[in-house]
Amino acid sequence: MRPQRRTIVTTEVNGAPVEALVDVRTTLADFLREEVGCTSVHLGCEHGVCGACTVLLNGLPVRSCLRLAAQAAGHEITTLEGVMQTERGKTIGQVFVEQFAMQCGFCTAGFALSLYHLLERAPEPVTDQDIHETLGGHICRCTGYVSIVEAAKRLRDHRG
Amino acid sequence: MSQHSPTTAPPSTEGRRLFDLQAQYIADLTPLPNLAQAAVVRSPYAHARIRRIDTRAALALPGVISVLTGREVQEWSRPFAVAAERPGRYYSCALDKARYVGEPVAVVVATNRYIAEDARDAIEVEYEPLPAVVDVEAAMQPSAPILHEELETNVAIDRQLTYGDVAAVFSAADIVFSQRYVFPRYQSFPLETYGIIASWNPSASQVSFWANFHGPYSMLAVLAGALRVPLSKLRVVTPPDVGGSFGNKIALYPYMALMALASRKAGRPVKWIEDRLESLSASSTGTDRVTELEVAARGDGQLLGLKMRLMDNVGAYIRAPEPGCLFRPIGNFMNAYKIEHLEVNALAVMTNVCPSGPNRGYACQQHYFPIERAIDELALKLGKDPATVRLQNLIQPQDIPYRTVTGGLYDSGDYPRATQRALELSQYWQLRQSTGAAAPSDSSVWRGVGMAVAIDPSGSNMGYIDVSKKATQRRPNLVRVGSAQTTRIYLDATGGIIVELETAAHGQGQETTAAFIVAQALGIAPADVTVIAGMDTGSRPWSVSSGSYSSRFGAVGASSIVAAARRLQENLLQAAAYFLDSDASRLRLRAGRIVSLDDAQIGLSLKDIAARLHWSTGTLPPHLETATQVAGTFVASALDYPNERDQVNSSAVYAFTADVAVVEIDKETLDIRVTTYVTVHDAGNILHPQIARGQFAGGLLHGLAGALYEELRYTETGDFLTGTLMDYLCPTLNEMPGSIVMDHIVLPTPQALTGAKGVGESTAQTAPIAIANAVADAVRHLGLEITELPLTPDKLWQQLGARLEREPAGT
Repeated sequence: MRPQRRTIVTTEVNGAPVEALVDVRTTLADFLREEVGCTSVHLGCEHGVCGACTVLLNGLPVRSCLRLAAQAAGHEITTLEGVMQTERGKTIGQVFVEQFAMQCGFCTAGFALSLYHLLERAPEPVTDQDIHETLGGHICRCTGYVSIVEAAKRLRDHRG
Repeated sequence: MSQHSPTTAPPSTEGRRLFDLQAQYIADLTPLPNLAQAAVVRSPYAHARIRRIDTRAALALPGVISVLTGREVQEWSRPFAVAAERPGRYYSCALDKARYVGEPVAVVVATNRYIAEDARDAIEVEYEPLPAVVDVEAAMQPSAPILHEELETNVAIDRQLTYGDVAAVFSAADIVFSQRYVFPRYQSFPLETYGIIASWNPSASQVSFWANFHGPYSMLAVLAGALRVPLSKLRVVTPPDVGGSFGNKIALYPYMALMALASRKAGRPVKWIEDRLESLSASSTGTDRVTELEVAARGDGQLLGLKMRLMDNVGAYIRAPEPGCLFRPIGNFMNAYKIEHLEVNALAVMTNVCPSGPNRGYACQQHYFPIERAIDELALKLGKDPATVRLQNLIQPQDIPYRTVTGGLYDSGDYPRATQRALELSQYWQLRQSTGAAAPSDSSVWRGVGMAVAIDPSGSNMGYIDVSKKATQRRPNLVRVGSAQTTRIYLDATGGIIVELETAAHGQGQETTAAFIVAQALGIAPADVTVIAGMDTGSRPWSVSSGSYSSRFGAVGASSIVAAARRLQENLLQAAAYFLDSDASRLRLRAGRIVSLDDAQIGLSLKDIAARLHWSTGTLPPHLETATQVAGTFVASALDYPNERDQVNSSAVYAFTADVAVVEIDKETLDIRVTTYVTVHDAGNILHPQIARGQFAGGLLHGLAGALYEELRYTETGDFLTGTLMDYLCPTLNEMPGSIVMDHIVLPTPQALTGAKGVGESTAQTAPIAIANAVADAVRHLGLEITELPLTPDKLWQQLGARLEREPAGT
């Protein structure tokens, strides 16, 4: 029997319903970038280490390069495009911009999404250790992480 | 328009664009219709003859458009030019022989990347494997496999440079010693890989590119030559957002050639985004080097002379801008020390690994590592402290401007002061009481402190590379000298200011800084300055030295912005004088308004002047007709062409860095942690404090990576071992030093309109060395010698094990 080549994926991306016919082998990252237009999703390593392609799947950070689009069926996906519609997302953006918590910006969306998750979900208080664990899952080649940690701590201290 | 002169540095324009979801990286672009996708077939062998390429199965797949192989590459292009006596014939693709793992062998073009990769796997290539050589010293042996048979050697360059009277100082010295040092191969790993869109237009014999290329634009001359098209028929657009480079993307141009030819074959525009394995194995890497160093000194610690044999592994093909690793730092070969006698044997050797190229701090870490390690060794031999010996030998502030024996002109600085500051901030002298053998024996760690200083050269002089040729072989009719940059500024009809950047930035915050500079010059708010980012050779002025590399924005790029802003200022005064029927010398620009010194009531706003200049062109006198459009060009002064004694001022300006690292090594696991890192800079005027600080911290990350974690490794037969992030260990936040202290002193350079020197590469040069010196301090009492990087627990363990076998008892 010929293997199934294409499938219809019905999912929700940034609060909007999405239905698309995709190759079954299409990664979630490629699907988000090319079918949905979420170009904030960046591909740095395509093997799940660097964290640049991080998105939220039902609110939890996942590497979109390691998942298939088909696996998103029935789930809610949030990218930076979605997070920037929220007050917390706007605050993260504001603080990152003021702290220069980015240089080339390629890793930034991944950091912002993991941090968004930490600030949304962690029970009080968010410790320095929590911040280190969260940010430690991402690679940045420009900042030496110094300004990103400062931004994260500032966001933690002013968490609403 | 806000009427104040900004004193507070503005927040990140580039960052704002990112969070406004307006970023444009190369992978996001579809600038042309009918864009096809490419995948590159690559050699799995380090050295192999290509017997046959069968593309039939690939071409039969639905969606596959074309396959380009070496046959067309040979027919349609020429080897890339390079400044080497014996270059290999380097094309964008292997012709009859592959010379490193990952070398392009063919390019598949298909309707999408998935299909292109299917087709790539369906291409059959028959190889005949050949013996390979990856070690630089082995490759110089007569018995070594030869990569380029027609050369009959793997040595592309063998230059002897002599300054001063080396024989005399070596015979007069109280102490002479030699050591062999190994600097590893690593790459700065920009998080965004190479990306190219290429379009070959046959009727216009024109080729257009969108690519994350950032200069030097001299590489476009090399590219045009290889593609056999006039430079004017080649257009390169760099998108506003580029995901880092650190020098890595300078070597994008061979792939631009490859994709242009792939587009020519496919008959439609082609897009290629490199993947990470391709990037690690076949983009560009820093040059690994073996150095044999001989030091001559007086018994009191005064350095007298050096002999250096530099053996650079440039990979399978010596590729421009190599041999820059050998010669780029020539003006600062002696670092910050007053040494007048130097002998250098510079060798560039080709082996079966990826071609090398610039990597943040191009050549400086390779060059300073042996010198700065040897100064520590000298101090120990003489029973002195390494910091004391450095301070004793540093060029003194009263000696500046200082002409080095190799031709460099150190323009500004107070090296002892910056060094003392680093020693104070790190509490160096107190720490020295408790490191190495002096550490408490009940501690679970060995502790060490080490330092390094570095002259940080910025603004590469295009002419330095000709030192690779003997004086008699240089072309007297082409004296290549200089570093120049142009920036254009426009005043729009409503008084708005538009700055067009021509520097092809890639993460350095240049838009933010440009707006700040122009706002300060005109007394307006940075938010009122619109900066056009990215670059387009089809519509913006450029020259061969244009671009963002060699930390040249602060001194050269930003100085052209200052030059343009001054010109606009002058035009505004002239225009106001005309409109107010006044004398320009009696007018001043204050807070976005031209005011009269004679009558405070008389004045014109920027908006008024702009409206009159734009709407009344028919009535303007000739000298005001183009007053709203200015171009500022900055040409670095004091740059020269190598003289017959091989002296050349290789950089526009010279900054300085002094660093101290404190390390702890776990006695059981031999895990090395940097607990404190202090870095003090003299980068002249700081154009934007947060951006400069970010550059220092980023440089530290790259230096730390080279010291402890990152290495591109090959087996002896040339198989590539580090193709993923599980093998190539990029530091995360948790590997960074526990405490990072960054400070600077400000001694502006007279060589730049900004007074700024470089910030981008500084700590990337010093950190590998300061950390190595700290580790050496920690383990010296155990009998361990540190002469190569990266320093890993297993390397320490091997040395420790070997020593324990020799002396099983005690210690």
